[in-house]
Amino acid sequence: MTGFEDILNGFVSALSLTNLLVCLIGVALGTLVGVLPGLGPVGAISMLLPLTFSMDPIPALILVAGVYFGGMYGGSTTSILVNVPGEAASVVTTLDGYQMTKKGRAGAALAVAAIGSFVAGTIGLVLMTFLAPPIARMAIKFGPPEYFAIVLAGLLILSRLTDKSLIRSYLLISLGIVIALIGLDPSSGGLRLTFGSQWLIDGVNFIPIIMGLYGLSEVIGSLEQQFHRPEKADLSLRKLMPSREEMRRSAGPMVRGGLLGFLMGLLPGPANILSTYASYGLEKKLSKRPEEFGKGAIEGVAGPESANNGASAGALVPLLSLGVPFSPMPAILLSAFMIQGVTPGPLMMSQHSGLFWALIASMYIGNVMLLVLNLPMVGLFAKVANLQPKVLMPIVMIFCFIGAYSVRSSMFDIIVMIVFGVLGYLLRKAKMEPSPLVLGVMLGPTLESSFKQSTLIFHGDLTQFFARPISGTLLVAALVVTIWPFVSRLVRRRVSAGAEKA
Amino acid sequence: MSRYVFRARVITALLLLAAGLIALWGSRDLPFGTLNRIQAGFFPTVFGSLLSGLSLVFLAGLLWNRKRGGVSAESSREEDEPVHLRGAFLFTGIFVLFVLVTIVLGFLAASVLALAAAGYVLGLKGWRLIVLSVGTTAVVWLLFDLWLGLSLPAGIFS
Repeated sequence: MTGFEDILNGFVSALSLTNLLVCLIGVALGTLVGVLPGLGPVGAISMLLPLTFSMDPIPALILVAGVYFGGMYGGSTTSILVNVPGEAASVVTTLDGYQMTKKGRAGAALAVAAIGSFVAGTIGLVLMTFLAPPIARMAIKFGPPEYFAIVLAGLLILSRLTDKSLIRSYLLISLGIVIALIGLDPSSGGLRLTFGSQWLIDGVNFIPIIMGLYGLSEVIGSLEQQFHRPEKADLSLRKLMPSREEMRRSAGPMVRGGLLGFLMGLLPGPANILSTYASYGLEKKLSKRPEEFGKGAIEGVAGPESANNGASAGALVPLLSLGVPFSPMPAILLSAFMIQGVTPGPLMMSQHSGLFWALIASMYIGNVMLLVLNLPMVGLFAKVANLQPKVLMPIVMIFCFIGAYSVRSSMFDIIVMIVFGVLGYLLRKAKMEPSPLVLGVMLGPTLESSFKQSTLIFHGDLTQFFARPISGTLLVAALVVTIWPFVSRLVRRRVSAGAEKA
Repeated sequence: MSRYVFRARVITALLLLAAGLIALWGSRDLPFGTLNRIQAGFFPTVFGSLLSGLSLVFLAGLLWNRKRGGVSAESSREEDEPVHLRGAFLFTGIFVLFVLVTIVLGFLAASVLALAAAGYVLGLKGWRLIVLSVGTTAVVWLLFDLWLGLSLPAGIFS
């Protein structure tokens, strides 16, 4: 059977009434649960996995895939509307998405996020369909030195995007890494920085940190909003949707974000998070109006949201073609496969080709369903942004509490969220962007484990990082990007001093 | 920069310095290891030192900036963000109250009280306040407890 016939048969299977219905339920549930703060796509799939126990393999995996993509989109809705990221990868969306809401453009931001997710999802799925095996073979050449280089380069380069001051960024990254070290040391099993507290043995979860920094800090400052009310969104259909100019400005970021996200999704580690920051930085660099970023630039929503979805599609490549999940989301998908008695990997296409192509086809269909489902809902979501702060903020507060509690059913997570809420409020007043702290918390464990493994491999010789082509290139690029501003400033000072003397 | 931003940054720098020193203190007994075989104390010590050092540099930079007259007594139009400390303290107090009431009376009771307190502070009164606090709590219970099966703390009623 040719590849094209396989794809066609996959669509025939995915377009059956049962599978279409299951796909619709999956994307709807995924979006709904993804919107709920604290749960996100990982929580959504975990909670809905038991529903698949009694189902046949094809509809079961279609349901899980629908939840996967739906959850990705749902996480961005609260980022845009109320500055509460539904998941770590939606943090960047708050930078401009929430600013757009404050200017009464919540509908446009949500619509661009939905369209961008669709465009990137489509790009990712097309690339996945045709490029999966060769790309996956390249990705397994990454070892601990490459993971370390990617994470360190990511931290150094991406921290420049979020705050003009490197010291402020590095300060918060360091704090984030220190927080990530609290609890059990994975290699020795010993306790670190717990100070005898039982609550700290399991470490500090990142969800309450994010919800505190962004959501609760907004609630703390809500009395100030009484004096600076966000503009009301115009809910007429014409104003709700992005204007022609906004769509024109978003088109490039959507495509670039989708491609960038897909390529980064092939790599091990927290690709979704890194891809959103990378896309934001790229769009800011390419934009003719970089000064608008952080104040409601549509590109700042289109790029990262597309990158997030592109990375989700890219992350499926190593899972489906090698059977190896490179990050937590595909790992949960893997469990869904195992429950159905299907082992993803090189043999999946030959032993379960009908299921494989039906799954791919249903992802295309699910992508369309997400757009069809969520675009009409933009008006409803935008009404939320129009609620008065005296109604909206208490609701945001309670949903933050429940979101933090739902992570581990622990009151300690609520206390953590409150502490970071106060810190987030302080950072806002200090005009310090909190996202480097989030980066540090998320990437700290990978940074440490990959560095440990690398030093074992290299017998302590750190120069070996530069001897390997991938890690060496990444580290040199990161160093250049970090040092260049200081060098160029020094050169400019010398040149102007020389010119003055002349 | 405005004096509000300056004060907030100084407080942040001091907090981060404290965090760095606490991390160094907490990792003093952890084995550091060598580059050949790094151990549990390596990263906490390195990043605790980095955090402490950068905080001192940041603080020094702020104080130097103030000495050079870089801090204005009035806010510039660009940095004109209001600071409502009373509101900040009130809401933090509501959060603490929520935690204490949850431990004693359970999540639902704490939710009603916290919503009512927050709504009242923001200016909501009368039947709207009751609808907000009771209605939102009911929705939370239906959605999370009944539908998603999340077991909410019940305090002394468990």
